[in-house]
Amino acid sequence: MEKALIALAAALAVGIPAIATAYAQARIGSVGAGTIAEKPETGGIIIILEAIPETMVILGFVVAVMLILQFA
Amino acid sequence: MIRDMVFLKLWGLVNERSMIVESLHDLGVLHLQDEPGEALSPESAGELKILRGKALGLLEALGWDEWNTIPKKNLEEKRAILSEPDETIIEGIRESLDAFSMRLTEQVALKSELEGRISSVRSALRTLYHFQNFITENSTKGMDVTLWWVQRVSVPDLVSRIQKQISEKDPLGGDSKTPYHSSVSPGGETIVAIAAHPDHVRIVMEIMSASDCLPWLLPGEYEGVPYRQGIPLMEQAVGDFPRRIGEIDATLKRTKLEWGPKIGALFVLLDEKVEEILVETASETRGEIFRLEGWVPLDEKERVTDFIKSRFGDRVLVKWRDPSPEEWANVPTSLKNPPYFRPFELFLKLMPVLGYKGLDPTILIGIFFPFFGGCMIGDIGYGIIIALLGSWLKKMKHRPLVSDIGSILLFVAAWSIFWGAAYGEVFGDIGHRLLHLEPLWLERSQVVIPVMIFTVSLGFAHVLLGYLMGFVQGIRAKHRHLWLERLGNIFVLGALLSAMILVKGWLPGKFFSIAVSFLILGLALLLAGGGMGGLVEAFGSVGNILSYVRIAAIGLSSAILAMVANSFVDSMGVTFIGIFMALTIHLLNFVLAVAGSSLHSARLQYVEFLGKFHSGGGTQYKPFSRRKPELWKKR
Repeated sequence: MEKALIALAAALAVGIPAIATAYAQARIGSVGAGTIAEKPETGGIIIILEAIPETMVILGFVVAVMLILQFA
Repeated sequence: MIRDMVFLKLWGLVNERSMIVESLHDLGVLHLQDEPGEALSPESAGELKILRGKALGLLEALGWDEWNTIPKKNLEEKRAILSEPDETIIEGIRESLDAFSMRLTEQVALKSELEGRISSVRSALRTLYHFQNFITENSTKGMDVTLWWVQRVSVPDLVSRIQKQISEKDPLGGDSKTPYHSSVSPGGETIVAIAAHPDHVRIVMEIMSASDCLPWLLPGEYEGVPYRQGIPLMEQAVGDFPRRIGEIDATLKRTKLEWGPKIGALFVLLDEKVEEILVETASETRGEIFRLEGWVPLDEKERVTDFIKSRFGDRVLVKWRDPSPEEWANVPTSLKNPPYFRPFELFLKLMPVLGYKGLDPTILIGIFFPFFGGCMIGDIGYGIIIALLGSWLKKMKHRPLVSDIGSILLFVAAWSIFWGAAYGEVFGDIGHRLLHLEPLWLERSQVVIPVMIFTVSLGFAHVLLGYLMGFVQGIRAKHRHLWLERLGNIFVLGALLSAMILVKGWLPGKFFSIAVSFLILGLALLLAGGGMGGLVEAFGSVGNILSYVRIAAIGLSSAILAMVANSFVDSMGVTFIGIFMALTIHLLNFVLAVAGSSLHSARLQYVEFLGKFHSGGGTQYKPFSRRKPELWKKR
């Protein structure tokens, strides 16, 4: 039971940021595509903006790995 | 590296202006100070611009877009003719283009007409096939059959009115029945076929016309031909039209292959000439002397001087000077990096143009991008496939972008193989199973934490390097806030590093005061450089460093997916399904590994590294030169 709860915690640590990142990237992506269509020179900035929310999942992944290694 | 630039001022005689401008065009290194505008083009360029437009229009009509196929020799020969285009040459080109355009239009119009006719003939045949039995049956009885479009009128009503009229006119006419047959066309209109004795056809026509019905006629040249004779004629035409359309298509294709490169060459030469005339017009003229000025890379200075001297001797005066600090914002930026690193200039094309006194990060991107990418992929097998893919793409010299991507992939492949050896991976654990390959460092799918610590350390060094470059950039640009803030961040990161070393016990406790001093100094510099925003920046830099843990995370997922692929052979045996599933998942993993590692490695460059020092605001170096064939259309 304890292991199951740890696994659930690790899954939530990755899953919730993943949903949040997906939402943020979807919004940024759709607006960014429109911006690039009008101003192709903004491509670099849009890639940067699109990539910024990913850090949430990466940090969630680190937390998940820590949880599993420390407690499982 | 950003090339040093020098300012060129050139004075020459007006009567030699055309030749001098053409020579500078050949040299292709002068970035004009004032770019000539097309909107203010002189009348002399007007005619050439019209011809250029006509040539481009013809190329569009031909559907020709193979600029690489223009023979260079042909181009050189014709360039000499168009060097001094007089009225006769322009008139000749105009007449040729107009005549060609007329012939092309004729062919295209004929094709379009045939396509229209084939459609209408097929439609007519469909209608006739529907009424064929009715027509044949009544024609053999000696009756005339006519077909009509009927709108908003009841067909039985019409027919009864016709019968009534016929009965009134010829009460002893015997059988006064009027056979008819109706059908609804695909467009929704009703078509009715009415059979009547030849003496009564006039009555049919009068009543139908009075009821707003229109006669249904055979299309085009078949109008007036009796329906029964029309069918075989139209069937023959339906068989013949595609052949004629095919012949026209073949002619157009031949024309495209034969004339496309010729008209393309003409467009190129006209475009070059228009550009030269615009530059001539933009030059400042005083009496018999004109002046041109612009920027030239320092490493080209000698070549330009020698070239002009050898062609025009003392008739052209050239003066050079270095840019003053006030001019730095207007000096164009041109990059020149060692050939191996040149493909990585691609990354800067997605960013605002570097300022003339900015720091060119191309070499550093060339080192870190493939290093990070390779660390994420970390598989000898995938590395070899990427190397093969990169070699293939690199050979595509006619597509510079693709060739550059190929070169970058080769770098990534080399680091993938290196990291693959470190992790002991060849297509996941196949190397270990079949070749008993052992990792030179560690097995990342089993030991996660050391890889994560390594990647964070890597991030620390990379971010610190970014701040150092930002500091240098701030000093060079005399931007006090920038260098203070960057220096503050360096001290804060130094404090963080010292604290971690102390916690680990690798340094004696008395060094604690040094860590605290670093922190206080860093915070003070941050406050002085960027105020409260500077402090927030310090927190952001910690986030930036942690962001590098993605290298370990993506690498781990790639390694596990490769092992999952191999496990299909374990569970299903060496069967077709097992191997197929394993290969499919390896393919998916390979695509994810290449795309994911490229994207995330690029993100680390753009966000975590370049963001620390890169500032745009520069002007792209655009020399007045003859463009490469593949770039002609992109005007």
